[in-house]
Amino acid sequence: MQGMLRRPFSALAMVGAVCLVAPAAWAQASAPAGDGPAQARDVRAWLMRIHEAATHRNFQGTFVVSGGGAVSSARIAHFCEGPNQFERSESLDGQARHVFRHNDVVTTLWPASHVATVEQRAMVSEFPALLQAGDDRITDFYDVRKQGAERIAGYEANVLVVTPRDNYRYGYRLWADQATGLLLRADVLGEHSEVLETSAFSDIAIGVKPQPESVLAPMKKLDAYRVLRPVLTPTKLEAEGWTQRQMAPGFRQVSCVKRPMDAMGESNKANADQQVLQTIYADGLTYVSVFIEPFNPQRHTRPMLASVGPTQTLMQQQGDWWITVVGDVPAATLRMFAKGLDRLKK
Amino acid sequence: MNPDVDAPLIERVKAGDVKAFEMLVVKYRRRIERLIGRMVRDVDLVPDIAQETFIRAYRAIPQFRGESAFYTWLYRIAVNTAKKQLMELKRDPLVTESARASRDDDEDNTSRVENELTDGETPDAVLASKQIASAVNFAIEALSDDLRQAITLREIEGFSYEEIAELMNCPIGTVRSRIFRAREAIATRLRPLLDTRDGERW
Amino acid sequence: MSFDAERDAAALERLSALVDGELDAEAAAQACGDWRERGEARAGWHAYHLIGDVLRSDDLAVDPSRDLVFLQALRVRLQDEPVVLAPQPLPVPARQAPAFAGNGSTGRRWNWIGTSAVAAGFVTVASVVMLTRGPTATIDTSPAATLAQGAAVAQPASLQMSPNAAASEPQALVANGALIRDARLDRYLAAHKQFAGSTALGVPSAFLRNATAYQSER
Repeated sequence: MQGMLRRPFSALAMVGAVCLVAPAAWAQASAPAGDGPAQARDVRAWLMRIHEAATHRNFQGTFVVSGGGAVSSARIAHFCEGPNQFERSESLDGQARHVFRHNDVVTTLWPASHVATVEQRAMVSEFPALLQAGDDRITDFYDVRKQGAERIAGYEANVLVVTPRDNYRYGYRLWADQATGLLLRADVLGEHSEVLETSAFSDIAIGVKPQPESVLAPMKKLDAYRVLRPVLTPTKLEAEGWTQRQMAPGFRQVSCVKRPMDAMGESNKANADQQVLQTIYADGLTYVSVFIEPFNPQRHTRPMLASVGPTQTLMQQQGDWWITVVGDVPAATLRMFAKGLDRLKK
Repeated sequence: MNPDVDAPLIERVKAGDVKAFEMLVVKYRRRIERLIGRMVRDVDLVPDIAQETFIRAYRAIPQFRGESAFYTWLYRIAVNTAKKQLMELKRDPLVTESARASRDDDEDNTSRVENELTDGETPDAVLASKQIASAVNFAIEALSDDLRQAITLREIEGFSYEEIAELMNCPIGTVRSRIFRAREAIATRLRPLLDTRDGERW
Repeated sequence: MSFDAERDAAALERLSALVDGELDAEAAAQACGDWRERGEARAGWHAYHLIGDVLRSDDLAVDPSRDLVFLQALRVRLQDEPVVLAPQPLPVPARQAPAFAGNGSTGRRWNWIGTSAVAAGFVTVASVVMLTRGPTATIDTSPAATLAQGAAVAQPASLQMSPNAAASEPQALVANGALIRDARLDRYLAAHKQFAGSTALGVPSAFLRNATAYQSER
């Protein structure tokens, strides 16, 4: 099963998935019916196509993210060969950072400090399952409709507007390449349709020749680095003594792990003091993480609500514990998760 | 359009400086309560709605991006909060008729309102108000022309320091200094009337 | 004492300028510090605004002790609220935004990378100093930015990487009134982004934003 993060537009690929694209969906959608409200199955088809393109196309380009008052960019590339996926990313701003992924192993290198982390990304596979099973949850909570076409980075793209049906989540505007379905740009829209963040390819080449060695070789050559291998231990929320009695509408738990929280896993010991419990919830398009750790007055000085671009973070004390809730969702959603979290009675 | 005079303080609030928000509260409380008082007949409700307004504004500050002036934004929050409160009262069977009444049909919100004796104001309070108003007016008259002109251009006409410097044909630093000295002169006359003169109770 | 009187006069003049919004970020931070520390400053801020209100409208000449009562009650409520943080970009020298290889024809030039301040790259986050707000803790937000508790490591003018970056308790840096990042906050963000990203569609903004998080760790 695939890990998820840090891949351009390809959150939840599955190992061994055969490429099944539904090109007919686009054709139908650009038929005379054109713009306007869409059938749930059309929406599934569009989103699935976007997802498939990210997992099965070969492309490379410059990716730029702008939001929360900051801009960052990176050169990224993605290759798919049979059941294998390869990705690499090189930061263009700030400190050099190289990220490489082969299926569910992700290696991150910091050349300046000679530190590398190698992580096995646990799977958070909600997205394809949702769509394939005919689960209409996404359309229950979001309205998705086509809104014309635009040219972007040299490619003709269809524009999709995703509008939340309630105030617990954000909206999106998506630009997907007409020919392949690859996502070329995505805007996260806030409660007043203001753009909270834009992510886009400033230049991209789709259909390049795959170069898996450009990913595999650096992942193996780690002698110049101090290698850290943080350990994530899957667990159950109830087993840890907690229950999420109530969560924001539309969200379901998709993962629960124990992980080290200090200095990016430098301590590989399963030291209870330095472990934090992370539970992840998803509504089909976005995620919320709830972190629980023992309260430590030296570290946890006061409650905080931080807002960076589309990402809100809420931190507060709950009895002997410290709770942190993070998500690209409005603060009210985080508060709901915090309120709905309870310690189980013995 | 002049940049929002509250911009420096807002940036401080966004940087986590809660005291900066308190400074904004001190600045706007009177206006906000006056606004709410026009919408809600029961004077006792006004401070609560005002408190609620400022708390909501505080929570929403990260989303305030300066597209309108801060006071405009705050004004809207006050109106919404008051309306919400009125709606909730309408649903509550125990609330009296007079408390439920709003002043929607009364005078338009932008005009000057004459001093009127409302249920919550005692004769002492009215007297104190009148004393303050006359102290300020008296003090303004007593200022030298330069100082009076500077503070009038700023507070009544709303010009920026730069504009005032042009109008008064003097450097910006002089404008800043004159306005400060005008304020201090008036404040000196006010202090006996303000029992928080030493500020320690703040 | 004349020293205090001088300091108060300077503080009051700064506050007077702040009333009119005519202070830069650094001076504003200082003025806010004065308001926090000095009773005279608080009384002055209150008086100046009362004067302005009364000049414009007689009906705002209300009993000023109500201002104090109101603020005291609000303070109690504010103490229960999480402190809101919405970091602003630091002023860094502008760099060229990445060129957009728009295809010749109808290629639209993007200008969503707006002002030059935003077009710059990330700022490296040094180790930082936590904002605290207990009854005794005070925040000194002067440009020197050293905490009363003495945990100061911040050097806002030139952000140096502290040798203890990973070991010391990371906190929030306030420099020139702008919060840069809270390295501890970034850890949660990084852990969240590992799984989540921005959307299920895999918008990778998450991992790019993490650039600052990781920088602060290394």
